[in-house]
Amino acid sequence: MGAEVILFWLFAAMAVAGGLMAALMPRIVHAVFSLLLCFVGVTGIYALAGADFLAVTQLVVYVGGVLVLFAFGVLLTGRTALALGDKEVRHRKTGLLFGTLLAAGLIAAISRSIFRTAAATPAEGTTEGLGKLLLGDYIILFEFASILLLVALIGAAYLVRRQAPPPEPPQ
Amino acid sequence: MNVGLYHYLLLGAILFATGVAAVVTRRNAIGVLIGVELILNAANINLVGFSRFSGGLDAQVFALFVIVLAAAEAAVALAIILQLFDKRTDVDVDRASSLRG
Repeated sequence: MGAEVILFWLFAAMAVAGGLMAALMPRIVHAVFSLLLCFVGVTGIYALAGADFLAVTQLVVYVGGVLVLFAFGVLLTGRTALALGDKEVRHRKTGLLFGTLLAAGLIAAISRSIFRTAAATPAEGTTEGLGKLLLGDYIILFEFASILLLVALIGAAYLVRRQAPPPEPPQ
Repeated sequence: MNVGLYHYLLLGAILFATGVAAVVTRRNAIGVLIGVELILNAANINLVGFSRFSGGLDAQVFALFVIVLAAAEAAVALAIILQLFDKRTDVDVDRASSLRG
């Protein structure tokens, strides 16, 4: 029991520290790498909560996919990202104050609410249950998600294509 | 002391506030996108917490869909940012204030 609490706070600290650094680091490259710390912390939280499939998905999709995408984005727009430097985060104090107030309000609201909770379910494999749900109750959503991914893929490829050198007048 | 639902919600609230702060303070469009990812992760932590303390897996299915949406959103948003960079040679959201075809 003690180990779980310690690990929870360790991963929570990783996630919050990574998130704060991602929000406040003056350089966008540092923010992207802080996001890595945050995502790994969140993965640990999922694993501790017994959501094993979700933890692996988080690692594969976020760390393996989204972060690499961000790194490419930073590389491809690198000149200005470096040039902005200290001016990258504007109104830092106001942003910090706003974020603190928002967090305080949310925490106050959460601590006053009462949730009906069952006993924590013992950790067991979730993959089978998730698969049955995805191809059973949520089959429509599942198919829509695949269509959405296809549309997003085509849309992204269409958006980043090179235009012909002499620009056509807009219709 | 055990880890309860409130701990998950607390962590989610803090990450959410961090993400919102990043969205409103960053000037680089990629920084704004980082904030959005933080917000989505905060939502997922809440979902996982509720899943653990409600005994069902449905919340985890929704968390999976959130991950799928986040990946699609990141791809399209980065494509838009690259187009913006092509047109304006910067990705400063403060200066990208004109919408013209």
